[in-house]
Amino acid sequence: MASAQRPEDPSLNADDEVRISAPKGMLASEDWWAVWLGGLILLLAIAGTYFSRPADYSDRLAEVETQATQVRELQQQAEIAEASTASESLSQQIDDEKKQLKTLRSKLDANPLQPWLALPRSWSSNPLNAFLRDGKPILAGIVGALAFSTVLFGFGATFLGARFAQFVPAFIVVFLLASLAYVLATQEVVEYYNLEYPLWALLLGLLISNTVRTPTWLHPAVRTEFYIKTGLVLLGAEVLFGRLLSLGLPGVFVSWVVTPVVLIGTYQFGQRVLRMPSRSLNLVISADMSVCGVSAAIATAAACRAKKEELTLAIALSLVFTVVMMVVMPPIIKAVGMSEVLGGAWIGGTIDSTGAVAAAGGMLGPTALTVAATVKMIQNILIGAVAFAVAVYWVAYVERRPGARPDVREIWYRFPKFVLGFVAASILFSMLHASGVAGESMADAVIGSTKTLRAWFFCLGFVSIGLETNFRELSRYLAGGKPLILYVCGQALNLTLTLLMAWLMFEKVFPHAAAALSQ
Amino acid sequence: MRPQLFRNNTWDRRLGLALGAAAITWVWLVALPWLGGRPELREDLRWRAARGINAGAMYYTELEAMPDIAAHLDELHERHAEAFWRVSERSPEPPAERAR
Repeated sequence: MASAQRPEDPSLNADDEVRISAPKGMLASEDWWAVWLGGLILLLAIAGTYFSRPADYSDRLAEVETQATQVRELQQQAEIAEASTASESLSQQIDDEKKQLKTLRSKLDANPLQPWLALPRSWSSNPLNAFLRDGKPILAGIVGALAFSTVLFGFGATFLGARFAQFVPAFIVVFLLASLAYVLATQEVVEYYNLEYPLWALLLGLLISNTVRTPTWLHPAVRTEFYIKTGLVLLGAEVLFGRLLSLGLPGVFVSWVVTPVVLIGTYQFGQRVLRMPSRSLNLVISADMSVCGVSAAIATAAACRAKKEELTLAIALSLVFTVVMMVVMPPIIKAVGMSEVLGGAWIGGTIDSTGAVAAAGGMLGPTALTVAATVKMIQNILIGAVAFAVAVYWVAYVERRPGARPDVREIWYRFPKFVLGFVAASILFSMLHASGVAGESMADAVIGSTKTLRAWFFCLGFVSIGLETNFRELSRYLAGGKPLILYVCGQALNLTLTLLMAWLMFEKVFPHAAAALSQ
Repeated sequence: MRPQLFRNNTWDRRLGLALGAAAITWVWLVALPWLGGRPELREDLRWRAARGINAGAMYYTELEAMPDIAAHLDELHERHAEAFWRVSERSPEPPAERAR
């Protein structure tokens, strides 16, 4: 039988060491190792950024603050002079000063890791161009990411029982497959339709595992959970709570009120009406449809111990519907004469992926692009709260023994520990980002390099899923079409509630916000 | 010694892999570049690139346009803080009126 699955490791969180004593468990469980490695990467990036600050850093910081004050003063003058002829030259001056401020900010902090970490770039007809940026080769960045990941995961895998000498060659092959998946994903037509790298990473893995079978020497590096959980800890640094208020109260209502209602409503519909055979599949589909597609699916699947096939199915559904909605929604919005603000909020709250949201919003106009991308960004931040809530709900209610009361110790034992790293990274970076110009600049510099590693880790995770998955197993989950019905019904609810809430917020309760955004 | 990948596999399995690889090669090196060369798609691609819209972005930190959008919103909040936080009691002037 063409199966490369490891039967002892069926879920995304098959952590059997939950009852190991705390200090030992912290070095013997994949969950904790994801926290240590993710934390180490973040610490290295922070330390590297801090210690490579230029000698005249305080002067540069003062210059940025002076420039920011100057821009603010000019804006105040522009508001006073709004009706006069002077306003046009003033707005040109403001634009110039803003560009200057942007340049000064970009020179404030630089992450020394950044030149050594890169992802394949967009290309049109020659795949070798994926390894060029502005005509210059980025191979050093790809090799750097490979070297960095090999050392980190090799170290972790050795502690988890693998042999370093066996892990390294296997990891290099898995990394090469991930690179190929990335090259497939960055072809410009593929990018145009938002067919993201998880799809191609899965495809390559599935092609191998379902034809010639995954060779056993590759197994030491086929570690889906390890890569995904470490990537999620790094993703935590990008979940900045300060961004939550970017659209004020209307944004909070559209993103943080509708989204949980749709998530819970769809999950309950799946359980009570459709009677989904798997709770975790139900929850992962509900989360990726209501929150933000692939990234939400990854976080929720890891938090609720979903099976790899369930994550694969949820992501495939999300990607297909994202393409359809990205193409169909803008013409419909234009045809009914909806305003850019309302249309943007509707798109941002319903299309799963950030890139597709921006593409669809951009088709309506610049205001719609701003609103759509911001609503999606606020939803992106919801991932942290959703992952934490799902992890608690799962261990406290779904996995508890029948008739037993939720017990705090039991919850702690079973709680997926990587979620703690994810939440801690989010809190730390949210505080750093909100601490002023210096903190914001440092957080941006650090995230600039860690997001590259995070993307590599997720890609490695999806290649591993493909290498472990049997097509026949996958088709079993599609039986009866229930996942498809769940997605369609959930998305219908999402479309209805998001439109209603966006209309209420931007057209009725906060029309001044819509007017300000339309300027 | 032959590598395990080929040692334990039948011809049909190897053929399956070869066909899959050939299909991927043809689609990515022939079909997609041809599709991407169509003028309307090229125009759309240029338009998106000019606005920092990379449709492949999975998370908001990957969207090239996001820093400018965030800066624009910060500015709007400074100038119209009440609009985003206080429930309005009267309708705003339409943008066209204000511009006049």
